[in-house]
Amino acid sequence: MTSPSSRSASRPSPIPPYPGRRRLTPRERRHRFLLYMAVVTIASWVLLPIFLIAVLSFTPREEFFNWPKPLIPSRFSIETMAFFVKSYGVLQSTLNSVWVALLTIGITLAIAAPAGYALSRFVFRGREAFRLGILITRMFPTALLAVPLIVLYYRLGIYDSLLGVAFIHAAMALPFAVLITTSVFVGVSRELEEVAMTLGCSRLGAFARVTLPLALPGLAAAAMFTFVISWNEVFAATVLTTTNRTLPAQVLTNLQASPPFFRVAGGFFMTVPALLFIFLIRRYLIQMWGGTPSER
Amino acid sequence: MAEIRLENVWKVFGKVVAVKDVSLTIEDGEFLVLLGPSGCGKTTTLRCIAGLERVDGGRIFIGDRDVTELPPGKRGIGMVFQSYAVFPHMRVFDNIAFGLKMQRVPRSEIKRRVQAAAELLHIEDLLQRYPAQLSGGQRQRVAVARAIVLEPEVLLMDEPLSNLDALIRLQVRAELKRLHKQIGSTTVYVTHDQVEALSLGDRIAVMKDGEIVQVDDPTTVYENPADVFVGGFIGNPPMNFLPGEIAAPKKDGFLVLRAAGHEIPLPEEFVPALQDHVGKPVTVGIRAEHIEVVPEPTEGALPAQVLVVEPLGSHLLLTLEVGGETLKVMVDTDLRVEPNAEVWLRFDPAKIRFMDRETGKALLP
Repeated sequence: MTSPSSRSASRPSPIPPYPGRRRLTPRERRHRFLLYMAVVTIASWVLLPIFLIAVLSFTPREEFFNWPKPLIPSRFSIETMAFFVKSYGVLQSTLNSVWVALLTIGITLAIAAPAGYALSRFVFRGREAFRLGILITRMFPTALLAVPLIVLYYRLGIYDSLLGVAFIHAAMALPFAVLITTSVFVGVSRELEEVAMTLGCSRLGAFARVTLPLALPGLAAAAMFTFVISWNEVFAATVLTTTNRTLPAQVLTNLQASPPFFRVAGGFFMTVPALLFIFLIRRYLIQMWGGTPSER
Repeated sequence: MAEIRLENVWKVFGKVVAVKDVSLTIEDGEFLVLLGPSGCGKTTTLRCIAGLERVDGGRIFIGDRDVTELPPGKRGIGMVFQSYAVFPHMRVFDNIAFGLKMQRVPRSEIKRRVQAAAELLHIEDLLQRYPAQLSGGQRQRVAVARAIVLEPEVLLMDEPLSNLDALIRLQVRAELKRLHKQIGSTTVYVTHDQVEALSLGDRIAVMKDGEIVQVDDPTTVYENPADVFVGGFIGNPPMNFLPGEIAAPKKDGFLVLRAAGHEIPLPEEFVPALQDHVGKPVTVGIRAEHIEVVPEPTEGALPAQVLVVEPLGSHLLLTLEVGGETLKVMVDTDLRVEPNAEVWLRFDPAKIRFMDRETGKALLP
């Protein structure tokens, strides 16, 4: 930018109606440029591998090792993917994974939401101990707990069941979920509930009509977090099941021994549901970080 | 409409006694201000009346009903909070209609009453907006409309103006006063701002350390504070306090006040109340506007040195030193004084207040 125009920008003038539309000073331009650079860098860091893996999994097998790779494969091939999907147990284990993830979210939220609410609203004996204690589930490596867990699961009759896997996944997700829900409920002013109570709500009614709608975006974030943890978890799902395997437990060991194009197809296949889930839940997240209800 | 009666109400948080044996009757239709510094228990008292806190002792009555065990929604109250507490996920209309919907009022009537309440607060054009699109003053109006639309017998307000800009605050303050005249609900208003208390209250209850120190109309609270604390808390500048002594130098029954090495003759009507205190130390209280500044030595005047001169527009505020004590004096702007000048102060004898030096309690009723 040349100096005359920068001088005109610094001249005191009536406040423009849209701050974003006015001419930017060189400093602001530089900041904006850096910001966009950062956005592009971070986005490509995430998107590029996803893009590559997506392209590769639909590349015909004979072109797989070609170099340099074309950005778009010459021919769209679902051959590898189809082979992977049809291979033994993949569809069933995908379904299992979805079920386990949903169960995990259900169990986690059923515990984390009340726990977070209590931590955010009430001062009670042992509150701080509880806050720390909830991290205990992450204190021991799962490998250490594997044998006791298997024994326990056998006794309870939930070994090799989806519910059993969901329980252990919920235990893993809970510390983070409680952390999130606590901050979510701290963010919903207590006075809003109290106003609702003076207007005729019971405590529970005030929670349902006021707190819950306002906490929903944050709870969605906790749900997403939980989903990702459950979807990615391999070890516990492997040792606690024999037939009812989740997708990672089912395929990861096999994929390691497979040719690269199968690994790519498997990797992409496992990514897609997580992406879909994040897409579904996205609007709640955007709302939580910087949106207002009016923009809904 | 209804009167509110607190009988020996206690509220304890752990080791802190927030409300200590408070008894208070607020008359039907009265505007009572609970005034005190932060942490004095005024908000807790209000929350006890609202039912947001369970009392640890005592009873609370609204009208003829003992509401001590009732939840907030069943007490017939409306409440306005300092933070407005407007529901951010509802339009203004739904905010105001919230209580009516809870009472299952028919839709057409909800519409009519929301409209009426909105018009009373001049927010009828904002009904379709979300709170995020409103200014602080508008949000507080929504909060007030939401409370009064239920036509509550009792309206409770917890520092409703503290979050507003100074200008808007003046405006909304006047509106609240008009509103109270219009709807006539018994109102309890909590504030730490003594100007608000003086301008709004039919009566002011001054609280300190969980106890009510004085309940009186604003003029009495200002003119005749019950103790040193009330005198020092109310008024801007606060009441001046000087150590002094009551003396009876002659046998003719007249009393004088000895302060800063000088004697001020006292009016006859003080004699009965002060007779017992002759020779005892007292604390003398006098308001800044009841001290006259004279440039020459005068009979019954105390010598003082000017420390600071602050022009306040309508008045000059002088800070002076008298016998090692600092006094604030309000004088007319046409008085010409310079810092370090020597002046003489004449107290308006009828406006002098006497407090026990030890307890701080006022000696005159």
